[in-house]
Amino acid sequence: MIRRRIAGLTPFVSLLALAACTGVAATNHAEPELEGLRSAGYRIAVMPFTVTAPADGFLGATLGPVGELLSLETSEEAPMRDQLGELLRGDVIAWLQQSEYDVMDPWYAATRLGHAGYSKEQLQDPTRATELAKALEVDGVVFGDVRRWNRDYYVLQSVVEVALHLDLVDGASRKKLFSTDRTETVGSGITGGPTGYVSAATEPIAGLRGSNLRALTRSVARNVVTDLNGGMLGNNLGPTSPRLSIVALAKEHAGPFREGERVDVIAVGTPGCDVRFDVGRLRIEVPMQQTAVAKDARGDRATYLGHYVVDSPDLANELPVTCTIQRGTARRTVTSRYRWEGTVSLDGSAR
Amino acid sequence: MTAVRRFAAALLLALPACGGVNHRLRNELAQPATVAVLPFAGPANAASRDATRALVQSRLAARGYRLVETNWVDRILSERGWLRDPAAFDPSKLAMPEVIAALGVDAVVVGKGFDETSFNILVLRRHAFGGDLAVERSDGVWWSANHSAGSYGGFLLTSGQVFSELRAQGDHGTPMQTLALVDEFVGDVVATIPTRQPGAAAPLPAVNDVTSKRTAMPDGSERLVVESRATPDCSVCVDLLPIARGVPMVALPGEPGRYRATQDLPKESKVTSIAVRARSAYGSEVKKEVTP
Repeated sequence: MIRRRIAGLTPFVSLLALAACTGVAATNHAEPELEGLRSAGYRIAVMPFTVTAPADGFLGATLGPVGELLSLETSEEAPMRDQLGELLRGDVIAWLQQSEYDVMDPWYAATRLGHAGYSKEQLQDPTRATELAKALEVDGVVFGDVRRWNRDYYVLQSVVEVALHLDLVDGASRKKLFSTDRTETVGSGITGGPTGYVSAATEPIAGLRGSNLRALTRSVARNVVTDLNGGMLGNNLGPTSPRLSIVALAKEHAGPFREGERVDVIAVGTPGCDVRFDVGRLRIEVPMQQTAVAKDARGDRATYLGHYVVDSPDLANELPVTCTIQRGTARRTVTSRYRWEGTVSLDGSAR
Repeated sequence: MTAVRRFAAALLLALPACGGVNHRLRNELAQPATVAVLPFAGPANAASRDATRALVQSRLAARGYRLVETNWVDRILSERGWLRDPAAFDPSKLAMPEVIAALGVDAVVVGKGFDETSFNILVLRRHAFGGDLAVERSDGVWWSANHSAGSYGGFLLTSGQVFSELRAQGDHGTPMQTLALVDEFVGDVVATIPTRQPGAAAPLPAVNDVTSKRTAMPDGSERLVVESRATPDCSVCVDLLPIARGVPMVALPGEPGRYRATQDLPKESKVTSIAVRARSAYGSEVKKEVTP
């Protein structure tokens, strides 16, 4: 009799367990000084995410336009994992633009670290936070790991699970200022409420459609960033921190620049910014104009050109040329300065 | 307790005792009213030194001194050949009475030996920033100090607004932790400089006689030359709207108060407004706008 009662209760208990699979689990830890750092404009860069989600039930193919049940299985070595990491990373960076952090443009980070010769594995290594922060001139580095991107399929119930782990490591002290583990699930099927027999059989498949998974992914990324930002996000999308990747003289010139000649400077960087150049500290804040924008999946890049026409009083040797970039309308106007590797000399007294 | 641990404990106790500001004030010299802060020198990162300079500037102004703007100081030093690369500036090679006369102030703030260090001893990690500062008059050093601000693995945030201001003023590369030490260093040191009653505000400069002329260039562009009269020794620039804002104007030799700027424009580009802006050494600015 007892066995019959247990057998009778089993579906009910299973149902309760499955119902419990729909929801959120999150643990956070933030150091006390993080709030002050954030309000002061703590500058961060987000590294490429690792994807350690288990192979069993990995939803690799849902990244494609068709997210049907039978095409969901994939192998651990599939490049889909890299794409997934980029997807989550992109979502996190997008949400961070509504936070108090000063977020570096990912294309700039990729360019700079690529030129420095870092491998992808090195970029994903939190023990390298100090050198990465120094290379990118940021205060802290965010590392992420996608720990679940999986589905469990029960005959009348399917559960999709997305789990993200995030660490914010301070470059100067190597201290982990913030750490979070967040898992969100969405179940689809009989726990969704009363339904007809036919719908109960097909609803689990519908629950695995790309749109549900995408919404779940956005939710995880948004909530992780909300926690990183102290529990709230702003309403307006702020810009990422503007950067220049190239600063140079636009034309070669032998000897000092004479009266009437032009010092032409070219810079490449974040579009829509106020870019200027200095010739030493003699002539400063010379305006540059945005002349072209190149579209790129990693982020648009603009070309800026400016010139200074040498006049008779200009006389100086070996002056550095530096460019500055800032967003005039940003909530925090932060100027970034970049120096060309050469020098120029001016001799306006000679024609 | 092992010998190593005894040493570490003694060091731990000794280090905080090094925190006081070592300073000297010569009361027999007159307190300056107008001051110029020169670029700071030392092995520390240029951005950290710039941040320190900016903070000294603003803290001295808060204590009642009249400060000439650092951009203006740098231009004067550059025009006289005393400043080429700000990152490698060395004030020890300058004759300060001559510099003070050229800048037209009572005294200059000279910073040397700025350095940022960090070390680990067993479980102790120390990060420090410091250097030497002096307020020099043409008749001698009125005030001087040597100091280092340090932290033991934590942050010394005092004001988020300070960091926002520092970040906005110059190079972005200075880490937050260094800014915290710079803030502490400047706060400690400037507190030993006597305050003074703020003087009257500097008079506004003037701008007159704005003229412009366009000349065709061989490559098809046009060269626009703008000339103007303004108060001598100002920093002057011109806005050529909507094309360019803030083109530097140079003071013409032998004609005090006469300035000129040259800008090449694409052929048939339209400049709808020319506005000359003159800014005094103390930051007062006026603008005169004309329609070309």
